[in-house]
Amino acid sequence: MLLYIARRLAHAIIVVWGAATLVFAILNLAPGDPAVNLVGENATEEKFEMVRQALGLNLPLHERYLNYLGDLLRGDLGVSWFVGQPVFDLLMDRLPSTIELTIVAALLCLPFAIVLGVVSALFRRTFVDFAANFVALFGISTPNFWLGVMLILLFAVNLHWLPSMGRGPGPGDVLAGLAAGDVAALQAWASHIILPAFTLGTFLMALVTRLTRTDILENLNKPYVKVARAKGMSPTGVITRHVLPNSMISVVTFIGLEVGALLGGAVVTESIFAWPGLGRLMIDSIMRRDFPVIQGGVLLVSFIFVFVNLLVDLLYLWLDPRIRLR
Amino acid sequence: MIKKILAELKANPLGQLAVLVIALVAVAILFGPSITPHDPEHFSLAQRNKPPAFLAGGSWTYVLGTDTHGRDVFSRIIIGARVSLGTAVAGVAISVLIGATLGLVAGFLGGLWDTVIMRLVDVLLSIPLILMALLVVAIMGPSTLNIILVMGGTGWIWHARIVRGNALRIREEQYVLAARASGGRAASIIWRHVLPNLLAPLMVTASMQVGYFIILESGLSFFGVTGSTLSWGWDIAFGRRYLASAWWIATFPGVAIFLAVLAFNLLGDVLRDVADPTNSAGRS
Repeated sequence: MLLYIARRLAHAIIVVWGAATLVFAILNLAPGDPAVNLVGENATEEKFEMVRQALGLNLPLHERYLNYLGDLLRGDLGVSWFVGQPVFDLLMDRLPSTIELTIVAALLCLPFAIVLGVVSALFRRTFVDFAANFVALFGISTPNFWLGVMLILLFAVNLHWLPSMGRGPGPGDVLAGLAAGDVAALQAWASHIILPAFTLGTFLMALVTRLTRTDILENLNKPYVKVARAKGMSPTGVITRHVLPNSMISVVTFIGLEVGALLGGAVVTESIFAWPGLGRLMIDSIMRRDFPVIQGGVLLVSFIFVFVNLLVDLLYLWLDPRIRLR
Repeated sequence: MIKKILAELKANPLGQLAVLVIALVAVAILFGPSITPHDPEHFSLAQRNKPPAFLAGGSWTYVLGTDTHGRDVFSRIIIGARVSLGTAVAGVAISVLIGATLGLVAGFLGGLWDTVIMRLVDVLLSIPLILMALLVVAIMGPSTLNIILVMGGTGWIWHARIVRGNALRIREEQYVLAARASGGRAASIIWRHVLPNLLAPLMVTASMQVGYFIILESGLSFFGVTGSTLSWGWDIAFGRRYLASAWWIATFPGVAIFLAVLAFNLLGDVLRDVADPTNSAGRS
């Protein structure tokens, strides 16, 4: 078992290293000199050279790559070319609001998706199933940037119910307000987060609905269900005690694999709702070619993905004795 | 195969809807400029912000209304199909080609090949596609070719995983063992026994991926990094600024994306039911 964990850790490190290398390659093999972008086309030759020197752009590619990896190993992500702050600080500054948005999106959509999936599996080929399938197809086929714009049109522009952009008070302020018996902060928080969270969560909701349905149907045909029924367990008991827990294992694995899609969705959603998170920082940095921030951001996103999936695998160990004992 | 697909379509009204939408999109792509009621890029101050025909003040001359520069929304949607769909289909074609090849290599050669290819899949899986695409297109330069390349360079992992899984399974099947035992060469075994079996699952993923890539291309256009100013995504970004005064500018291109993506997803469902009849229950 320790060997298994060690193997999974090694695998995780290789994947993150691969992601770091890939981004480095894309940025550094691209046509055009990033220094030109920094000092402007009309800068003097000396200034140009100075910037190249300062950023290490005059070194050969392989030396730059080794320096980059060396810095990474020391935990140094470099300094933003535009803001002048350490990349690590910039990322950590934005990360909490993205995590907040992602978690709220998941909490908003997953229970609904799982219930919908279970119900449509149990009432297979009825109207409920058909409707659930339609909801799922709708979620998969709607581009999230358009969904966001349409939600703004309906709830902010026409109905004036919700603000169209920005982030409300942070979770800390909400809790402090609640402790003081004041719900104003909670309301402000909820009214800001609900549209972006829904925009971000729809796609996942659709996928999880479909997956839950398929998985439950598959499990219903397994021998253990027949055994449980044969020994006199009620149909509801079979579902809640046996089928659901089994299906949830595959749902959890699936959600782990979709963390990348969620973070990608956050890039889009944050930019539409002016949500001050990692995604917007990434878009801004990509647009102004802030290489250190782009590299650091992609690395962080890849790290989160790998870390979550590592957790899911370890959770597996705990949930499924067959793996634990192997 | 085609017979089976037709039989499945006969019994599946949603599948028929999909085929209808795809046919309409195909007409829009093939005959684009000759069937648009107006020039999609013609500015007209007199016709600015006309509402769609079904609203007060709208007219059938501009069925879906006009935008802030007086351009016909409907004509722009027809022409926009070329960019969105053309890019998506090209991206999927490259993805399938790379994915099938690498999946076969990983599944059949195994060993180091398998390890390296699957690690590459893991790396690409860990970076969100939209982030990767934005990065490549913004840094390498805005061009349709770059978008297609980034689609192919990342989208292959969908197919590679499926082909690899199937290859691992098929490799152990009796008929492949028999073909190998009777001295068949690897290439001819793959060509005659393995590829035909991979066709159905690949068609399913390819169809779904077309829908996915339409959304990706529109997303990139929405962010304005593609250099194209005549695509569904760009129109949504443009119309977004006039939501309060002319909601139709941003709304209808999105409906077009939705319908096109829905059609390819439904088609994917039909193909999956044909490929794997055990799963056809309830058409999920």
